[in-house]
Amino acid sequence: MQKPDTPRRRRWWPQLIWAVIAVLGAGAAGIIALHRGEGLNSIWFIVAAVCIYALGFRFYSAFIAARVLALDDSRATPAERLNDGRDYIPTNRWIVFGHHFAAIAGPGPLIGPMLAAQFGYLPGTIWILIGAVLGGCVQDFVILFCSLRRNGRSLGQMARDELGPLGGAVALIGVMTIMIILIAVLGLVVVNAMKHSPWATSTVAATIPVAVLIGLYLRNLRPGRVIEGTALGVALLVFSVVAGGWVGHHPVLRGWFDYDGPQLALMIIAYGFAAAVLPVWLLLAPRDYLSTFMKIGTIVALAIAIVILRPEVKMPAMTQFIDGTGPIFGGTLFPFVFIVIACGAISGFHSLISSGTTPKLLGNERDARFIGYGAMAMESFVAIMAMVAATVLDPGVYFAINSPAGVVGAEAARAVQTISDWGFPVTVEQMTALAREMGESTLFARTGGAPSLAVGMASIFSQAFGNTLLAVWYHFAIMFEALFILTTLDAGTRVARFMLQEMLGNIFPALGRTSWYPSVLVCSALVVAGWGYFLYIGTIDPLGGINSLWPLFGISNQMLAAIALCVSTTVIVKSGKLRYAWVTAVPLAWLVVITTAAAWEKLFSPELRVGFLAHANDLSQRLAAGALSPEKAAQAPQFIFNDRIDAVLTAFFLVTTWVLVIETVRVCHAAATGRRCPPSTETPYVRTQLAEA
Amino acid sequence: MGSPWPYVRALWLRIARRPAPSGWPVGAASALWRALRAATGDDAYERYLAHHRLHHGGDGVPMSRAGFFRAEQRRKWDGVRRCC
Repeated sequence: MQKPDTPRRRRWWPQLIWAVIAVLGAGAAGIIALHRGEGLNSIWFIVAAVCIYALGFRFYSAFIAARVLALDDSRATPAERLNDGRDYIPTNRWIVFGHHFAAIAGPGPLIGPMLAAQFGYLPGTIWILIGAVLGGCVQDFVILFCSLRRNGRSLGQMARDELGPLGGAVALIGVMTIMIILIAVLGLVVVNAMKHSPWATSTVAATIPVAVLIGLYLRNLRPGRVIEGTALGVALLVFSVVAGGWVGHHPVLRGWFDYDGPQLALMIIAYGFAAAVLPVWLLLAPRDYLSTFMKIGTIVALAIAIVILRPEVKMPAMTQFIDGTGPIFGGTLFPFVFIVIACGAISGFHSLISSGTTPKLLGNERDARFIGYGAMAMESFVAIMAMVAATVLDPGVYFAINSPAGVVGAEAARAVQTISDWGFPVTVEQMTALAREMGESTLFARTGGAPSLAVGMASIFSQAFGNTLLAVWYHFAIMFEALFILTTLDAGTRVARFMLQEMLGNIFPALGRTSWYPSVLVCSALVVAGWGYFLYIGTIDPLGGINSLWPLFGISNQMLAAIALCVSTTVIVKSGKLRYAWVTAVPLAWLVVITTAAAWEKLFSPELRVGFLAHANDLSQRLAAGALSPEKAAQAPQFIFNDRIDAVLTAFFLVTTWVLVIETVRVCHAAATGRRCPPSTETPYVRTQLAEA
Repeated sequence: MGSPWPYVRALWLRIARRPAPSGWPVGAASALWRALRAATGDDAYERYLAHHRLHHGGDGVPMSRAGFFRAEQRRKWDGVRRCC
């Protein structure tokens, strides 16, 4: 409720402070943008990011809250009206913020910038900052608001209600496919980090019994004592990092944990299936506590370390790879930098959280701004830190770690020659010494971003905290990434299984019963087979798998964001605020442009590393001409088939996005001109009874 | 002699139900601890009991700690909980 206006003197100092923040932010951004040559300090990234997020939050989100959405703190929220003490509970805003942030923060914002750094630090950084402030934060905020005004309904339900059944169906299938691709690519990241590394593999393997132990502790020994259980688990995890070092140096034990990519892929697939059919309390829930704690702890530690250390950025502002010849993934600066950054700037996936648990916990509508906009700003800050960790590495080292053998050559000597010829000097000795320091046998061609992030984090941590245990820090970072990647993998498989059961339930009602065990087994197996296929192909792909899977993931994630923004725009137009529709329509238009451009290139580009169809055709011609070695000829039909599947998926994303955009334009036009369209489903106003409002 | 546990429990409840201490540094530490418990969900059962007392009065017996934890976990994992 608004307090009655009391006459008071206008204070001048807040304006002065905001003016200082604006000047500081502009100055830092200017330094980043205009700096050339050596010696750029990474602290400017942090300063620019913090100032830009603060300004975006203070002014742009306030504008959206007041003018566009007209947040009203006298209106009772679903948590108050429907309070059932379980799903709907008015909860302290800081706690909701914590839950919301923990749910939206995943491995995406760490991996995306790590890969996009092949263009240099500037393009990715600009998109992370602008994309978040004008796109990602706005999406999360507006969807949270829409769901708040609709009893906490999900994105799929809102798409159906506001846009019609077509919108709902597209959203549901979109979420399913994005989940499959996401899990496959994350699995690939973990596999590449564990490949022929007994230390990493044994540490990651140890997280499974640790999680099970904590699960038993929290269920049977000390029910619900989350802090105790988590503290115990974290201690065990740190011990398992150290113990992994012993295993890695033990002549016999190391053989038990030394596997190549395809073997590890099969193990991850088996693990994923087991995790999906086991009860949640045994593995998934305790792992989630541990990974949330590790995630927040490590991110905070990284931020502190960067501020203490202020390392120098060694990557150039822009590399020659903006022309599309980059080794990590093929494709030109436009549109691929926007696709590859993904979650750090705008992530469609967040709209599922913003329309899931969070709206059912808010006690005051006004907090939607702080939680929706604020949590995404923080997530985007994580992406900036990943960018710093990528660019403080020597560019030669960065490219040696991240370039697949199929591009730079499998032998160390050839790889360093290729990379040095690009103008990023690196030597075999340097890489061998680095690998030894990190306790690994080799760091060449460890694609996927996790190992290079771990090298970056290990060097930052070991310098900032006055410790020289580089190898332990490196494997700690690998364990930390693997922990929450595996949590996403378990949770994602489970959600995809629910959706599949729901869909199949329409055809075979028995399969729709989510707790019927045969249905659980069948549907989990189908989901695991789906991502397992892409994961396995990724591990045998000479181009490294990440090259084709990550852009596909980026396109699908941005497409989901487009769906969310379609719903947001429709809601704004239906509420009679046509003149403010640009707030979501402009990011929507931009997303449609970049996803269309990227999908088009992935489909029809003649460049072999970009176009799926070009690659398939080239391979089949060479196969027919007998120009392939027997080993490659045996695999070729599989790769050709895989390219075509990727092409079909891309085409599917492209078509569904356009169908939904056209539907949105139609409904918005009808709403703006007073023609017939699905009516707004906003719940009527009820005055709040909560005292604090 | 009966079991000592009811007495231990009563004593513990008297300690636990004291009004929150204030002042520096005990009050601050206690506030921090309470915030940590709330943020992690460590106090979920206490909050459930309070809710039960407030909204359901005398009718029905509240769930046990273990039962509550199980029910919560089942409910929590029934939807999208993780992002990329």
